[in-house]
Amino acid sequence: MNKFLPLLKGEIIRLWRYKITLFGLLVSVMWLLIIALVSEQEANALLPQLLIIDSGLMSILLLAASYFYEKQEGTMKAVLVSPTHAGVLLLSKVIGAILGSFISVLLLWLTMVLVHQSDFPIFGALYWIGLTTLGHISLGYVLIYLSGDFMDLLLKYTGFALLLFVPIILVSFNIIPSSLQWIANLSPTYAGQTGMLQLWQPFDFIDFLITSVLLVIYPSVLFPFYILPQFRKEAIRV
Amino acid sequence: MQPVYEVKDLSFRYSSKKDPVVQHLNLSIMPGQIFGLLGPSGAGKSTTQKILIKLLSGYTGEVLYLGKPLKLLNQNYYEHIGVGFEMPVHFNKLTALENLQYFSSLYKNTIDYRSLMTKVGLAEALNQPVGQYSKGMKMRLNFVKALLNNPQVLFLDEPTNGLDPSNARIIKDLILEEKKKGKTILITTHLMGDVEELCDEVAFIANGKLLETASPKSLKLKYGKRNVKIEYLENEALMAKTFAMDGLSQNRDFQSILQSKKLVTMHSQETSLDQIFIEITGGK
Repeated sequence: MNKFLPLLKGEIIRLWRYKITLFGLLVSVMWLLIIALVSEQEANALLPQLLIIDSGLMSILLLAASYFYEKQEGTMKAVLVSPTHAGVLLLSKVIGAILGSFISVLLLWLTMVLVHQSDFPIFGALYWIGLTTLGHISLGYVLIYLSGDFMDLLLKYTGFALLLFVPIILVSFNIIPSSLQWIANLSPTYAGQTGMLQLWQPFDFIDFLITSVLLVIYPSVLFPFYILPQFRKEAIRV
Repeated sequence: MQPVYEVKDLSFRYSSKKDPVVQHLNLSIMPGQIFGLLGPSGAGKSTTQKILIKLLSGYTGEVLYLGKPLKLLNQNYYEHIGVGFEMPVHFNKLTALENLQYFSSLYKNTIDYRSLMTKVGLAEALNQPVGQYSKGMKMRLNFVKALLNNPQVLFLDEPTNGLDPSNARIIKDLILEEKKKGKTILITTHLMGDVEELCDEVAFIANGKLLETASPKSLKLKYGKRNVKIEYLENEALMAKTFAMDGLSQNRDFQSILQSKKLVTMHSQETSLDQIFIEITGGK
């Protein structure tokens, strides 16, 4: 683990220099403008969705862009022949992506404070955004490993994003009965949104716990049993 | 003396392939030696190297590093080795300095890479993004990166590939300098000139099997056809004849040409390593 900080620092520098962080910031600015231009009430209604789109769906795209750049350059292989565990390298990439999502949250929070003189629980938002990004990244890696290149990934991503949004649509329009709404939580996008909405409601520990567990199910299964072994295999193949 | 690497009955098969890529390989690499791993494309050289640098596991047989099974060594093993891949691997949008700083931060001990960058002629380009480097510059940076942790064992895959003669000379001199420091160097290459100049011992691999291990000099003695070719004028026409070097002083035909004809050229014809490579690997 003593190589984690240099790896994370390197990852942050790389994401900036490859303009991946910049692209993420530009998207955040778009959300920021929307929030700044609507009323406080509308902003509060929009915030959970915007934050989840940013941390969930955008994080997959940014992760994929970063991954395919690195695949093209073969640099992961070079890191693997240094005294570094593949798991620590992967962790630095995951944390790097989560930090990118945190920037958006902070920007939106600042916009709320400065424009609407209102705010939302920032630490709670960081908690849910962290978990939501983690959940989406785990699925993002699966998508990456199923795609040959970035264009291939974009095609698969379109269908995948739709799949993640279907539960939200079904629940919003009451298409599925309330007794079956728990199924919607299988989508980390829906689970993340449920978590975020809790910030605007009185705190309920049971809801908090259930949503948290739902968001960590995918990463806790996918990272050790699929992503990490595949991460090493793909890095060597390059 | 204990070998740095001892490879015993090593076999490896990729899960996606039916046949093994490496079959019953036996090798010993001694300390301070420059060892060349040669063979045609797809022979199993790179796979063998990937096993030695612990990028591939799931092999059968045994690989010992300084007497210890490679499988039992942890990540600390990478403090001892340096790897220069065939295709230079760098972060192209970072400068050379940023690349070196990043990789240095992963090791306990590192060399003064700025002075090495000067030696390879890249001091001026230290703050230039690597993406703007020529292939030759990337290769030289690749070499510097392989030496970053002052490794005891150096793995170099085609180290002079794509370099002009003067830059190739710099790299070859640096390799010899590392050898003088007592380092063990394993080179994979197709360039027989490099092999002849650098390697103490070479192993020829084809179809995953070890075909021959010897020093370049003894290979030349074993496979060499020591001939002398002479060109001379006879009735204004240019003629050529080849004679075996052994017993040349008693060869009457040769003596007669020397005495009676006008010589144009006379060359000894040692078998080159290229020819030996083709002969050993079956002309592939």
